[in-house]
Amino acid sequence: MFELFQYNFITNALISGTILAVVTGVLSFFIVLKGMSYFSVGISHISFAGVSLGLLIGINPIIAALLFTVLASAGIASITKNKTISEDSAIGIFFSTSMALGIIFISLIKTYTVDPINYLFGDILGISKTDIYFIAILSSILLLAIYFIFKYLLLYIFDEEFARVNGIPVNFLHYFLMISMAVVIVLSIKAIGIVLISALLVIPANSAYLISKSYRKMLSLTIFFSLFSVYSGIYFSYSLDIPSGASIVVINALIFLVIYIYRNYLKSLQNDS
Amino acid sequence: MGKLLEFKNVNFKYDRRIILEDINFTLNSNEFLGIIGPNGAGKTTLLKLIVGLLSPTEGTIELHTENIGYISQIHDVNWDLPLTVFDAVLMGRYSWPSKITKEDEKIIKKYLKMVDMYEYRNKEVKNLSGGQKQRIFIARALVSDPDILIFDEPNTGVDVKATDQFYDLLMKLKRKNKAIILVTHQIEVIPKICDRVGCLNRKLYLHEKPKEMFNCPVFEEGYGTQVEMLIHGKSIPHRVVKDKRNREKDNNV
Repeated sequence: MFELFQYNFITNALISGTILAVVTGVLSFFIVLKGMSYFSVGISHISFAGVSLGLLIGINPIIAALLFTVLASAGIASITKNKTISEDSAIGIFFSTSMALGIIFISLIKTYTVDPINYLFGDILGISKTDIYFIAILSSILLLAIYFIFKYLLLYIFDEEFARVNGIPVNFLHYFLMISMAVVIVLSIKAIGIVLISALLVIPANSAYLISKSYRKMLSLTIFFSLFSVYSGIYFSYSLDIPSGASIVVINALIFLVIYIYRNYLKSLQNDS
Repeated sequence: MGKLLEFKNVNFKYDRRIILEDINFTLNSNEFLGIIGPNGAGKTTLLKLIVGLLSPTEGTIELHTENIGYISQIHDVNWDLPLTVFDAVLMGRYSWPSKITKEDEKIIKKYLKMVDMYEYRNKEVKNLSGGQKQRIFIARALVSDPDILIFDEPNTGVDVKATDQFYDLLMKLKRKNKAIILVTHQIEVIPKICDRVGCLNRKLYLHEKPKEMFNCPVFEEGYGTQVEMLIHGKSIPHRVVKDKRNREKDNNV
């Protein structure tokens, strides 16, 4: 197994995977507790339009996706802030419109230098040094911001009205969560892919929630499950020659399944005794 | 401290519908104001105006303190969060921006003991009963040392025993010189514990003597029935007075 580390592409995958596992893990914690899992699915598909637009007009598709997705997330945050439309409706509107735009942009491309399909499914084994710098810088900024406002995000999720009464800027926190989701999704496109990235923002925290009595334990476990799934996903992808993004997601799902069965088994023992 | 709060000619409209009309009252320190009214009378709107969640359409609200403890209804909260009782009460010390210190933890301990929840400090909030959730909400409001405590229908979803414990706690708080505003549907309790009563049904009728509230027009226009109060010393049970047609039907049975 250790002969893997002699390859640069493996080292790049492990470094980028570690950073992404931590940042998606932290964000997954908030997203699941706030009940925003479907937002992550919607926003990841919105990024498809950004990638397609970048390919069409000849700019870096990841940069184009970042700008497009952040703007769209801010738009969703604005609409959902005052509960003008329901959250699932807002996501549905932006999701379907963005997918349609993405398909139109793709159809207008005359010659392909990069296959758009690569962005749908990603490949962590194809991450370059430049990609690592980009992921590291943006992730560090995001994690630092979350470190400073962690307890306010927790209060906002627990009791939004109490947070408002106590002068916590709830609207800012609402926008922050939405835009952070957009940034993390775009950062993960090359590694995990548009189709599967939402799994990393939903599954680890749900697994941790099942066996946590405190938020501290839940956050630690979420990050641990993310890291474990990324490392083992990379290993199996290389060893079995299977897509890396899919391996990571399947391992996440297996972790959830094992925990879910174990927890129900423990409950049935308690009920019997 | 004297006057803490004053409403001057406050109106509130929502979508051109008048919710509150010409509201005038003051709240002084160490005063206990009870507010009653039928559903849709504007009680929660009034409280939200006080704590700044809403702004009046007309009129002014003068608040002479920033320290308000607001205890909202317990069902409006995300109880599935993996929080301990201690963590939930600690949130009462969050302000923007600030750090949590050892001093904060001492204060949490003091108020958890006051509401008899200290032994549950490591218990998950989602496993608490309605009465216990209500008590940690009170502790959470108290830890910021508020000048005014505001309760919005605190006994919704709470059993009889917990309700009794709640009112005992309220009397304890009254002795600690807190100004209190209590919105409740339990009209039989109001005269026992409140200094003044406001009967609200879009307009606010203030009664300096709580027992005067039973002649308030809000009861007939808001509840649709007369409520006659029988006063026996300290206890005040009530019965509904039937109209003449039903009394004759009963006599003929």
